[in-house]
Amino acid sequence: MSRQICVMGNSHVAALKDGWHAGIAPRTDIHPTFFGALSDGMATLDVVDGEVIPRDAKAAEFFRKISGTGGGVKVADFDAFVLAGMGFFPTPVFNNYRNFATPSTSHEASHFVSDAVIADTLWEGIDASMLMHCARVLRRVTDKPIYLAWQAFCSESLFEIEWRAEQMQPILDNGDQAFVHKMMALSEARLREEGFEILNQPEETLRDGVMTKAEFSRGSVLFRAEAENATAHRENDVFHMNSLYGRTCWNRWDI
Amino acid sequence: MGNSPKTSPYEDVPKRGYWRSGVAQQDPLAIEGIYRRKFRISRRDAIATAGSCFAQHIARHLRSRKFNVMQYEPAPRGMSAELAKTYGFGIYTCRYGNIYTAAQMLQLAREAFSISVPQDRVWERNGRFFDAQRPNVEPGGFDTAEQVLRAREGHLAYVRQMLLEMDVFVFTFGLTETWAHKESGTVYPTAPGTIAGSFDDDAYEFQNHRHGRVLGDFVKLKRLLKRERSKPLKSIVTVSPVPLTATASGQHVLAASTYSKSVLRGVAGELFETYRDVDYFPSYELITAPATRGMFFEPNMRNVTESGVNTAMAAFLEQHDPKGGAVKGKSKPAKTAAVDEGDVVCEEVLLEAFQK
Repeated sequence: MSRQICVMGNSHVAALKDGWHAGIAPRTDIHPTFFGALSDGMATLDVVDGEVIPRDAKAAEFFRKISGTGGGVKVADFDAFVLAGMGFFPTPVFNNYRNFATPSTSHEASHFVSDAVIADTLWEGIDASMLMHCARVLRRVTDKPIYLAWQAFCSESLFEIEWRAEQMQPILDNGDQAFVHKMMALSEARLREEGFEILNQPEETLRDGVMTKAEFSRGSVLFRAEAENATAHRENDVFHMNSLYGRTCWNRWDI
Repeated sequence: MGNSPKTSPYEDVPKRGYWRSGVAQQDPLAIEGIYRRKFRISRRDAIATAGSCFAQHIARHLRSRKFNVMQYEPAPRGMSAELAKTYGFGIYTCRYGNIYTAAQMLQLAREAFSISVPQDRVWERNGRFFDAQRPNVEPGGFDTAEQVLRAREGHLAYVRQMLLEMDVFVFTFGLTETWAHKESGTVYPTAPGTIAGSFDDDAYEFQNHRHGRVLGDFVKLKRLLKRERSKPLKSIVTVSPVPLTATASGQHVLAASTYSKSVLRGVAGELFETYRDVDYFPSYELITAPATRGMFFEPNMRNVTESGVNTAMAAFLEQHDPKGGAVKGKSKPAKTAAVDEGDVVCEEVLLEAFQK
């Protein structure tokens, strides 16, 4: 009997959804159902009449439609939950690298601060993210496993965007990928303390430790119901991954 | 007809010079004429702020009125104002935390210009290492003493830049009481052992600086800056109205606090009378005047209420930004976190934890 998995999130769920539905299901021990809302629709997620669903009418409509169930999430129907995207990304670590060195980085920068300064900045963002709002709403109504999936690192095609290249290149030049992962691990520890489990980006999708290989982002599509035509993300969208990425996640994640 | 002779030298004293019309009959929320600026500050002037807790309010209000309050050590992108405050970002122009005494400010300037180096620069607590001159800016400390010194080296470079580039220096005198390293005279913002380090009677001593010492330290600072800088500097000094949390003088804390504030007010007055480029802003009087009946203090009778801060700053801005109108609320968020919360960071309060 397959375990029923509820997958929720924003646009980043599209890769997982398409990865599951493209061809033969990647595994038989689980069966996912995909819920979500675009943009910040999930920020209004709540428990309404016993179902988990966004309070925002437009978001709720999308949420119902995307799953194909026509309703919200009945937590009793699922064995575990996966939350994806929704701001779970080490943005402050990348944004501040050039200007802030710490004891764990190997570069010179304008400011030298403790690791805690960057780690707390990252945690503060995650703590206030849409992802954590959803995770905590779910935790209120279930004690079943809740997995939080890091958003994939940006595609290596980011080098086609000048300012992104300028942000990434120093990390690579100084070999400070371990610093990025250390900051992420510190947030993960806090999340585990709160009773959540973490899903990391599959190793084989990584480029230089802190980017995603281009083949996993090329041709990514928008988060839409199956009946609708798949529409590609804008050119040079370095954030969204494709169905190959989603499928790789399903193959690798220990759920 | 000639002028008739004065019957009293007080005859020409304006209303603001009489207690009844200048204070008793005034609205304590808007005491007329209490502050007349000595010089103008413009929005182009590079303003630097330093001093004790109350100086944080001045920086915050000036920033909200779009004055050019410099920020050399901004918070990381994405850090909230609240977290930034925990790490000492955005409170003052550089990340030096509260500078309670003139001696500490002078010492910092000398260190920044490589004239002298403080003793016992790094304090340890539970295997973590802290900058003795700003133990609160990294609450969790560093792994090693070397890391503390590396961070301090960077900090000092910014302090030096600030001291060279500022056009207006706003400094709030906070305390006369301090703890010092006996042999070297190095002063510290907190007593060793309060936040980090440990107290050793043989190494450290309590000092309660008198008028001559406080005045001398500020004058030395002025001379040092005049020597190092290539452009004029205007200073605005204030005295913090926040009473002492605790005293090590052996006196009753009320008497000790009154002594301390009196000395600082005396020094500020003398600086104002002596130097054309030093203005005194009477925030102390605006908050503590009998006419306010203590309404500008929180129930702990120590912290200043937001209403008190606004009243004081309204008097300041009425002179320096009269077209700005009443003090505005929060400005739109800056790209880097600036501390816009009303609450202030005050290490001195930690002394309360030692009360038996």
